[in-house]
Amino acid sequence: MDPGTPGTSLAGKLSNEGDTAPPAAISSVEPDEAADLAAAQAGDDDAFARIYDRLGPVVLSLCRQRSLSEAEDAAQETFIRAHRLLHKVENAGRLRPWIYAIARRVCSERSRAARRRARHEEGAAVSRQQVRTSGHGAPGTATGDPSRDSDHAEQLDLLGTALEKLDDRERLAIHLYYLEADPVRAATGAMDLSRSGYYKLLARAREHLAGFMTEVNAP
Amino acid sequence: MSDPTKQSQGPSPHDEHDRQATLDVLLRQWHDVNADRAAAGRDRLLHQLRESRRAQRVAARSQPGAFALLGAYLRTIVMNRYAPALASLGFVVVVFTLLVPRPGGAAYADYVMVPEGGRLEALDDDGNLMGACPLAHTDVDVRVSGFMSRVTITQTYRNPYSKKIEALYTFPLSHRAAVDRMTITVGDRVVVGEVKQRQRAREIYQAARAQGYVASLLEQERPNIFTQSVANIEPDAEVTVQISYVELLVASDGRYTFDFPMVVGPRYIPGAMVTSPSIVPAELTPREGLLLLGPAALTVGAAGDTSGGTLQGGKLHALINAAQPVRHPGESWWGPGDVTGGAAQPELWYRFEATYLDGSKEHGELYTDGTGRINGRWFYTDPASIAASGTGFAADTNEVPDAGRITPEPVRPPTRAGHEVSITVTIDTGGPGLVDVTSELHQIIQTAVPGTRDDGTPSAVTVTLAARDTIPNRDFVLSWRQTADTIREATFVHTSNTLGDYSGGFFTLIVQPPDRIEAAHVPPRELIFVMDTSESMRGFPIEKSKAVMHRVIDAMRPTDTFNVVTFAGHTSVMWDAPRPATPSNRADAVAFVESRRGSGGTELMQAIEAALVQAPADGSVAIVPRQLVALPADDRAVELAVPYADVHPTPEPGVFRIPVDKNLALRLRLNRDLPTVFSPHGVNVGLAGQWRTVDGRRELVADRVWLDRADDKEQPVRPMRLALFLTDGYVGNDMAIIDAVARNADTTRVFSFGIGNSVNRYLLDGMARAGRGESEFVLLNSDADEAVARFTRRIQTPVLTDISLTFSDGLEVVDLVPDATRIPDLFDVKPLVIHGRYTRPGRGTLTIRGRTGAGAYERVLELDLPEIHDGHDVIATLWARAKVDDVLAPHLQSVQRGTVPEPVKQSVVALGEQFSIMTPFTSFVAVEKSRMTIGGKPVLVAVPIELPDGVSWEGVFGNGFLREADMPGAVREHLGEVTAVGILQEPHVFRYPAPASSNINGSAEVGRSDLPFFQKKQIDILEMERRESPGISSRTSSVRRGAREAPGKGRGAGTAGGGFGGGSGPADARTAGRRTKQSAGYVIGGTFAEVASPAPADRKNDDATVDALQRSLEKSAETQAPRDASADTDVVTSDESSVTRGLESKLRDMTEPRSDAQRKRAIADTDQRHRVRRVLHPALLALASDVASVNADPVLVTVLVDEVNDATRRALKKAGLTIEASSQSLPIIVGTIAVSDLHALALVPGVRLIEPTRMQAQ
Repeated sequence: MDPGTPGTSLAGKLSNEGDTAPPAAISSVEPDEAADLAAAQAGDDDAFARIYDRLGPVVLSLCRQRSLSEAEDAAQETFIRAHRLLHKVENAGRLRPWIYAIARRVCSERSRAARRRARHEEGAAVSRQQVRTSGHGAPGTATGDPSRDSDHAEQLDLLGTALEKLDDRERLAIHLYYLEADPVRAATGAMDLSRSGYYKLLARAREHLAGFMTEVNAP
Repeated sequence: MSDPTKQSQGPSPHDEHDRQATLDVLLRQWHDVNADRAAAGRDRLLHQLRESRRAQRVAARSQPGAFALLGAYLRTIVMNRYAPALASLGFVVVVFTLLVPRPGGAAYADYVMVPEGGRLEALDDDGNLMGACPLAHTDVDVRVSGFMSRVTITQTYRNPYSKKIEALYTFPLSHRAAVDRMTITVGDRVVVGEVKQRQRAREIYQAARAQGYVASLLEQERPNIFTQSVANIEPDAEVTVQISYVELLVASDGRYTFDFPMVVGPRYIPGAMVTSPSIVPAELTPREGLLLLGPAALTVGAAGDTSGGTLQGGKLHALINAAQPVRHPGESWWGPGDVTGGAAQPELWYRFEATYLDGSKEHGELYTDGTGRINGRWFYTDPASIAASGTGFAADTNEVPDAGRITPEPVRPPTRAGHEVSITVTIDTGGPGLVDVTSELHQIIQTAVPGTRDDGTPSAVTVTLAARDTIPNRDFVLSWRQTADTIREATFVHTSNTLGDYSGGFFTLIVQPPDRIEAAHVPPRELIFVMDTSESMRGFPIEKSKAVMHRVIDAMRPTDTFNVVTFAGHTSVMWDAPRPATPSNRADAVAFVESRRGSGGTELMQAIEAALVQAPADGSVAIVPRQLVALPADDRAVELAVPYADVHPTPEPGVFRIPVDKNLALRLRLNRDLPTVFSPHGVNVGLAGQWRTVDGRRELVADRVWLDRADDKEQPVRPMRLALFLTDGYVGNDMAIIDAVARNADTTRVFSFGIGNSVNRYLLDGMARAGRGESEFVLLNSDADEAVARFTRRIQTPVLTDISLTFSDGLEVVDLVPDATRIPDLFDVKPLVIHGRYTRPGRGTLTIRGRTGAGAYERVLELDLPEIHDGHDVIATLWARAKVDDVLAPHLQSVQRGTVPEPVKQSVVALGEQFSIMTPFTSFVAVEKSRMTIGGKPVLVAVPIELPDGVSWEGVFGNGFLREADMPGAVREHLGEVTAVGILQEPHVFRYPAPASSNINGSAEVGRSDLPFFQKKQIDILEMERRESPGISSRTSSVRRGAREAPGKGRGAGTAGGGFGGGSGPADARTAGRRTKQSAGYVIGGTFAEVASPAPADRKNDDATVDALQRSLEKSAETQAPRDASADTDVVTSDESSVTRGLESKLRDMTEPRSDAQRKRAIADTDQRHRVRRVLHPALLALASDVASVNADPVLVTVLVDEVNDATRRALKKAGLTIEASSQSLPIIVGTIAVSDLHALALVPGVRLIEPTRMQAQ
């Protein structure tokens, strides 16, 4: 694939507009991460909950594949594992990539298990079809028009499928962009990327995502 | 991977903008939902944390220790997450239809069980239900009557899945068992199995399976390993298989023992993978370049059509290792496709994933026709080699061609395989009282059968396991004594006219031996202790082994000499020659033994060579008459030295007599007269010939005679040589080993000590029998002192030796087993058991002769062989079973290799079919023909087994059993909690540091022990490489020299490489060239040089590198179609000149068709590259809990380099190593490095070996 194809127009724009604020911001407060880590390590559950507040959405997104409830389980498991090993984290700066790494491992394990299951149910194709048709209508997206709702839900499912195809870094880049107050800062911490590096990655991720969406939409 | 062609035909910019906007909206909504759900999960998490903490506290209180905590944690996770769901668990069982156990990590399955509600269900490590084990229960019923035991095993298979299944269960039985019955029960129908020739039985079974009948096949893999296959078990249906066998009990020193093995221990499989390398069929065109881009962990993914066989993790490695790169197979291979044109599509077999050390991944597919591709790079692996022999965790090798059938997959403790066993033993002595009934490894309940004897002891008891459902992870060993101390002698007979050629009478004699008489004089002894220090012995077993060793060393007498050999992946001999048992030598030996730890494979064969094939201390090969009579007279060539005066003529012409002692004389046959000597004093006769059994008599048939002047001094008395093996016997080539012992034992007697709770008794008994010694089993919780005392007693004075049998004239006895001249010596007071046939009834006597500590022994027994005796029909079965062993004994090596001569095989088949017993070449098959099941092909489910009690999972599966050499330039993935990462190296350029003085223990491994940083095992591999492929070594070395002498060539070659790289620009070409140079000296293929060298020097250019990586991967993806050839040309081989050569040959490929010879040469070259490429150390270990952070945390590594200088230091630093120390005398640098950078470190020129240290457990 040539990076210079027309498919990159918006992605390119995004790169150029790297300084504009990202559209979504989940954590409005910016408490002291290092202090929370230290407190959580000392056994303060509330501090750990604050860490969860900050990192949970991205973790859940990383884990979300077909089913939202499975993603919730995976996110929970990720944080339980993290909580158990929290004492190993010495530097608050490493916390974010560390938890993401756990999440990736957890969800790759879970998806392996899910694939095994799927294989032995009705065959992967059929189950995929079921997932698509039954859909996971996200709350707040209902339009009142059943056919549009179902269409929309299907699109969201397709998006989920397409996101699955992205590689880990690209996927993370996307999640950070939509969920973090300061995605560049988060990306620097989580992926050891420079600002431009992050936007390049993001652009490529979107480009791939669009490609995959086209692919799955194609008859 | 996306299809690039689709994107290049993209829509107009306007559409594209809309599309992106829509995508943006979708993404927002998608993420908003996630954020909401995450917020909603906050309270749930907090609740779980509190619960988890509480559970940990409870667990810590009840079961202190790290394992307990871990277990508590696992339980907590499972319980908390699934506690609400437990109620619906039953429902889930039905819904989740998981039919193949974990293809991805089959060899390393880590299930977690729900510890609730009695019956355990298998869950994977995420708590996802894997499905229940299809073997629901095993019930064992044992009836002991006198010496005979009849064991009936009832296996209940239940299908918990929603599809038809075929269950496959590999299980052990006693190696003495004569399996003579198998029935299956389906519903209310009982089908009796028939014995058929093995291949025929399998055909019947396969045909029944294909037609949908419920069928069962029982095959013998080893005398103690059997495989039960049950086909077409319908959902929720139950099939019961009943297997029954008879065996004679072991009774020694008055104690009777019944043992029932419950689990097949994980065997080490020696030998080279038979899958390597595949020969590319003529329809495919080989290409150059490699399959993997570098060291990678391979994971089996989704399965396609597995009707041709299943694939486990270890086998995937083997297959990829054997694979040959080919060009896109196309129509010439697949044939024309459908109307849309192009080639037909191959059927998917498995998907797999390769994860490189930098975290990047590639996806691959294997097709059922043997072709496959990884990220567009096509390859071919031989389908024949794909169809591995079984479902086990080990791949077949040349030494163990059926490895896949004898290595059933254990689950990881504390996980349970999910089936239990219950045992009931009824002992009826028929007279004497029973006392001291004990089971060392299981809690038992005894119930006396009513009718107690006068002395209050029962003559019959029933023993059951205290826990009705017991985990089958250790042998059931039951022993007892009888109030009458002497063993009851008996003659059992049975006559039959329905056995064809074997019609007639059968008998089994059980004869009480004399009591042990301590000899007044015991000759000096030479003891060779051989201790297994392999991975499977890690932990408890090796400690037990050491305890036994300490006591045996203590128990030696000052006149003894001894040596210590330890073996694992290689053998270490403590001293060059045996040394006297002085206090200081003993202390050294104890220290040597104490320093051993369990690691490495189980190369028992090498240990046998070290212990048995050893030149005698005085350099002579001649033996004395005393030693000769101790050898079996099996036509072996011997050389004897006898004082002239000792050779006496007999009335028989050409026959002489040589007295051995006052009761025994040696028979010598000479085809000539003895030379005349006037003064016989001081003259020795040398005799060379064969030690034979002729007409039931042993004699030396000498064909060479010479005279020799004996030394003036009296001949020193040759020590009696004893080899003592301490091992668990977990090897796959057991038969070859027994054969090796038989061939090499010579005058050495072999004693075996089985250390563990479910050792390979067949091997240990077999070794002892072949080495004319005795076996002893030390359970992990039993007293080592007792076992050692027994051993000491045995070697002090055997009970009865040189045993011979003579039947009086009235008896026509044939087919004695064991043969009358090869009756094994008795080391314990245990009965002599002789099976035989008689062709006509008669009365007469049997004379047993032998020698005890007090001298000659003779006993005459009355024998009455009746014309008709219908009872005791098992006597015929026992004879046949013993006869099978007897027939196969000289052919064990070929049984192991599957190359038994046809006549031998046929005679075994005849015995098996005639007597309806299991043999290696006959199997039981049963087909329920009354009803046909529907629903297509059953899915194969291998029954998971337990890991034997006391065996360390990490020891076996952590990093030892799957050998480095089997891994495709890549290393281990996550083995449950353990992660191992290895580095690709070229072993043949390794240079040893100069050897220094020997170590303190006086070990023979001079030079090795001076390298404390490097595991000796790895150096062994290096040595092996050097030995095996000197040609390769010298060739590649010269290539390297070439690389150094011509540094200027790099750029040119690189440019050329880029030029062929599918049309990328000159800039790329330069990059490729530079990287090529960097990776000089390493065989790394394809575009990997770009990928794998993150160019630590240019950290700023990370993005560029990532982009380059991305592009290169994309290019690889494009190689699927006709352009494939050009992309493959990015071959970066060991140096510039070979790159040039590779390119030239590629150019040739493109311009002219290849001849067969050229193709073969290309294959040979690839083969060679595969062979020289070895992964040397999957040594970096980490707990799973660390795995998530492992890529970020630095590890301590020791790096062996060409030479330590500033340039090297700089290069290492650039690669990310923080240098902490370096050695002055050795070319070694120690430092820390991020795991993700290890890869880069491996690519630094001059780096020879990297040894990461073990990660600290939490």
